[in-house]
Amino acid sequence: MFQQNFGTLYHYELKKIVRRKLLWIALAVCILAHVAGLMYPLFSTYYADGELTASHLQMYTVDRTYREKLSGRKIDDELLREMATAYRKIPSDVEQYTLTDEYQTYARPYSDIYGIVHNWTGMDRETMMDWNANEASLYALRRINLERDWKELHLTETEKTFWANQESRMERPVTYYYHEAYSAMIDSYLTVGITMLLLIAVILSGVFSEEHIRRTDQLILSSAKGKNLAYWAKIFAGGTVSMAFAAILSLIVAVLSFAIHGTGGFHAAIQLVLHFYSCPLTLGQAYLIMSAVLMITALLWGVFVMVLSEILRSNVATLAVSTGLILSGMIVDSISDRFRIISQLWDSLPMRFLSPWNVFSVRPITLSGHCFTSWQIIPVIYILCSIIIAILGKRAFQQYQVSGR
Amino acid sequence: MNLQVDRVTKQYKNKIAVDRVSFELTEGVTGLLGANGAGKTTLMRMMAGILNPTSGDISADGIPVTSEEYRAMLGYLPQDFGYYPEFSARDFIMYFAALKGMDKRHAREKTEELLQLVGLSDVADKKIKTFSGGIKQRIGIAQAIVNDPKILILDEPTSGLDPKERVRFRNLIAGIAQETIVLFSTHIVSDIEHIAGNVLMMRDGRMIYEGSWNESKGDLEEFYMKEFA
Repeated sequence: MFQQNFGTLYHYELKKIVRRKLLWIALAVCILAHVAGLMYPLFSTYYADGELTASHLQMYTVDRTYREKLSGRKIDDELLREMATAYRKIPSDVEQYTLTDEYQTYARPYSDIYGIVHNWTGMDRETMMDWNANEASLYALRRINLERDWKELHLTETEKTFWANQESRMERPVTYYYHEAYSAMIDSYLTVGITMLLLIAVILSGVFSEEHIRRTDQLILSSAKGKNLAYWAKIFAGGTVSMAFAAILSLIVAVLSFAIHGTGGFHAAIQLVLHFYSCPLTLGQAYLIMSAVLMITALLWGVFVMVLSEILRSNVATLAVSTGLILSGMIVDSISDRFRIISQLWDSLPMRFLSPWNVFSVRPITLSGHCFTSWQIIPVIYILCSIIIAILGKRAFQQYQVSGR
Repeated sequence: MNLQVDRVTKQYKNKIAVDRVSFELTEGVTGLLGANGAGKTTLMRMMAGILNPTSGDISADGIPVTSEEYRAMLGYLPQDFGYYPEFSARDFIMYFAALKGMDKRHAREKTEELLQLVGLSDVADKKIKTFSGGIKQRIGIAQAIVNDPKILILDEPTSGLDPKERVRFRNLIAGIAQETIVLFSTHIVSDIEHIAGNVLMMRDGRMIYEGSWNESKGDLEEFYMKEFA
């Protein structure tokens, strides 16, 4: 495939794509949207009982100080008791406990730990007030919750054993680290994914169709390297642009999040954010995995859009189909877990997969009796699909007949 | 070299665009005359390997039209084609040189030579979207001959050129044709009568005349007008 002139053709194909003004406009709009999305929460205000209590920036500054103070502490008996004692000071007869002085003075410094315990165990405030806060009970309740979740997801015994093994590999007690930047990055992943898919659809919908519309196809297809090398040069150029988009968006979100929230949290356990996930990963590792998944999905989607543009030979039709698929992924939010295979397949499609809960899905993939996580298998399948789609597209490109006009 | 077109037919649903056409071409200019809709463009597309015949064979010295080897010998200028508006004239020719398999150094030398030949050296780095139709046509001609083709197929190449450019183009083709098979389609007889040693005439998809034309046979334009009146 990589014959003489591939590099030169690749360079020119890249030039055709990146010299389009549309690309830079779309990228700029996309970046601005993400900057606004990440900054907006800090500049809004908080109302309680119709009265302005504080700006989000003020609340964030206070919470950040408390969280940074807790950073590095293990969620063990000592910390859990401190948290429980602080929360017990809040009067039980108030409607909005977060507005009480007791909460603000004693409990708020532990609010993140409270949140973690609440998410892991499912306990509400009343139950937690009576709870004998200790490490063993916390992890036992977490396990009960996990098993309930596994049952609801219709996991097999092999899959349950797989997660139980993963859970046992978790560091215990979990160490709390300040991780606001990583939370923000994970929270914005779905938006980044959707905008990336849209951006790729807009930019690459003309890669092949415009050759037909402009009638340059006849010059290309009558050239010695036009039916083979030119095709691969286009696919590689489009693939590069797609992956570059993913890398740029990932990097922008990371840089902005670090600039706003600080860089802490790389070593924090993934369970601090994705509560029911049992792999012993850190948030830093999780974001690197998510970025790699984003890039591989961008590759598959880019190849798909380009091949679609060759088959449909129309920018508008290609864009319409691509956008329709993205929207369908948003509209059909999820398929019931009772239809496990269909549901899992649906969630594995590019327009569904780019969400933290699907990349780190609790439903593993079983191959020859071995369980693998989604992020271990789906990217490999995406790469294989990219190759297969590209080969099918090549047939359509080579067999195109210049007629009519 | 011998370019052989053997009983080539192109049939669309209920229309035969080219009907059992056979001929052989050797080095020199062959003019392909015919009114609009006669089947000239369809025939040339099949000879350029971008349209499959319904039946029949096209080959050059036994090399089939479908092969990369055939396309490596080919230069093709379609009747109506587009450009990459963001490319410069130099980019455009260099891009097609790469597509034709030329190495970078040779492509660069040849591109400069052709830019000079078609009178575009001064505007070589300007974007194509800023050029007039005539200049664009000159760039198209340059891309067609950048690989020193053994077979050059020109479909209405003089459209869009002013009278001075037409003369210059005719002289250029006459020079190339010493070692190249040139098939030059037009419906303007004066484009080919001075340079074509061989003439083909098509009407309704069929070849109605094939052979050399000289003054002893009379006026080509008169004959053409009579046939297509």
